[in-house]
Amino acid sequence: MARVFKMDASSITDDVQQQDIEAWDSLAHLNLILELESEFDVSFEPEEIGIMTSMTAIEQQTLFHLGGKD
Amino acid sequence: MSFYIIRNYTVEHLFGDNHDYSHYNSFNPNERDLSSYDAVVNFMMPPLSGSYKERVQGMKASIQTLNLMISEVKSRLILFTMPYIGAFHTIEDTRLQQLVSTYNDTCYQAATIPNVFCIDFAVFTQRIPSDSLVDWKHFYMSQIALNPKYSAIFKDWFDLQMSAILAKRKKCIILDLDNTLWGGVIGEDGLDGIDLGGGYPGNVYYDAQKLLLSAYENGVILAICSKNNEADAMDAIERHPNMVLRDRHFAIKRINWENKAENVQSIAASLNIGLDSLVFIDDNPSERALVKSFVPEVTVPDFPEKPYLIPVFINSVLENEFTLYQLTEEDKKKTDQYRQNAVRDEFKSSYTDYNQYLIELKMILEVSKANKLDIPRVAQLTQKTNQFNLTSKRYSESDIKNFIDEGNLVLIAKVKDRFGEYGLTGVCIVKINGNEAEIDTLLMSCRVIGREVENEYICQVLAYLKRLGIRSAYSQYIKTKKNAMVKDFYLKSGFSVQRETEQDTAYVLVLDNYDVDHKDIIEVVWKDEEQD
Repeated sequence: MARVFKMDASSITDDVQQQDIEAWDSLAHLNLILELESEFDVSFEPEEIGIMTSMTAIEQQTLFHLGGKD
Repeated sequence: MSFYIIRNYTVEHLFGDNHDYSHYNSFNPNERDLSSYDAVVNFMMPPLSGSYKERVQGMKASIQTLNLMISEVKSRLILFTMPYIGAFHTIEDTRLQQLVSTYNDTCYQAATIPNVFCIDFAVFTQRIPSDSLVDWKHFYMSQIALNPKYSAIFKDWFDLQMSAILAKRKKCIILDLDNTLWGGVIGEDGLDGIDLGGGYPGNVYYDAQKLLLSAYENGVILAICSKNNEADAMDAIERHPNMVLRDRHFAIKRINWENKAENVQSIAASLNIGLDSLVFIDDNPSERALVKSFVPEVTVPDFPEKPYLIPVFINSVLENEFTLYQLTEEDKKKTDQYRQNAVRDEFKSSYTDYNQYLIELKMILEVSKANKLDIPRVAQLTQKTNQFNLTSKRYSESDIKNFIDEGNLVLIAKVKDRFGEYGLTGVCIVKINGNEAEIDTLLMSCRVIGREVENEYICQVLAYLKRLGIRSAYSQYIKTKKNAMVKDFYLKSGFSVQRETEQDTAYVLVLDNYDVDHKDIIEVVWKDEEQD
């Protein structure tokens, strides 16, 4: 996330939401999803992508997919 | 580096966020200062969705945008060709396919403009299974045309293309054969007669080839542009025991009797590289001058006069023009890729005003009857000339002397141009019988043919016969292994076929109806016509 938003990693806390970060526009959101998909080798459904607008939601959905793989 | 990227789909994941992106399928040259970017990059995909009609319109819009860009962008412009993918992975319709071809041809042709570079996207997409090129989820969610899982390899590949473009490193070395890759003239001297390997001067050519081989192994593209019969040249390339470079090392070959400027252009087009990526190596100063004046973008180094300086020369060309940077596996594969592209694509070679070039050569054809001093050279030419020789009859000095004594015509041609004199290079022996004439021998040295001289020569001979009151001229073509290039020479010169067999063809021309087709390219001088 820090890489996508060009932010210091330490400033990204669990309660970060899309509206808090100026750089988190639709393009950045896309880049974030693409990074996650390639980093964790997962594929999110459009409905999930729509709700992944906070750190918590991102963690949840990613873990959900990783869990499904095992 | 920062680019302005013109696109019709979402491509940010491919190029990253250091760049500015156009609106979809939109280019306005006045909207921003294009010269402030390192390059303008055009990356368009064929329409991937919509009705058939909408997709055709989408393609047409992309072609228009492309043309506008080519005419308006004066700074560096990089054009990606389009892959042949369509809605739902197939291009099901020839009309759409044609539009993609049109688009790509426009890119290739534009790449001959100095500021325009073309990247063949097919080289990238062909490595990817076609059903995974598009990820439909991302396509319908975010208008992403190229599957994001290929972004990383795309970035690497694109960087490689850019470093090749920006380094301005030459890509291809175009080589002559005779007296360049080997000593002597293959069409005349034959496989056993050329100098290659062994002692001097053969060792010079052998070493030069070794240098070129290592350049090839480092990703330099080798090409041949030679005036020869292709079969003779290929025979030497494949069969000469000391040939270092074989057929497989050459990405492209233009072995023919066409004008070299056009051949060079067609090489660039087929390889899909800019003319400024080419280095042209030829021992003949007039060929070098031709290429210099018609394709000035091509680098044409002076060729050494002494054979022993050739390896040093080749080495310095490789060092100066092909400065090596860190080589990747990809780079080494490049020659093979280019080779495939060349085989795959058919290109129109652009037209150059060859006549104007010929006029500027200031060629002078001097025709005269052979005198005693000419006899040894005439006999020698009948024995040595293989390619431009209609009947290939071999004569001794006394044969020639007898011809003259018996009242037959031995008309010789001497040729010069602004680069120098070629001396006695043409022989025509005509047997006169009342008001009929039989052309027994017609030959020219391969040093001068291919520049209209041969046509002017036969015209002059025929006009002379007509002045003598001859009414019909007979001639003959006898097939040999090496004279295929003159098979239709008499036909093209206005003769009609009288009879034809596998081995020879007899021709006739009624001179009453014959008019000299003088083209004003070559100055003709008749010498001592009334003497002797």
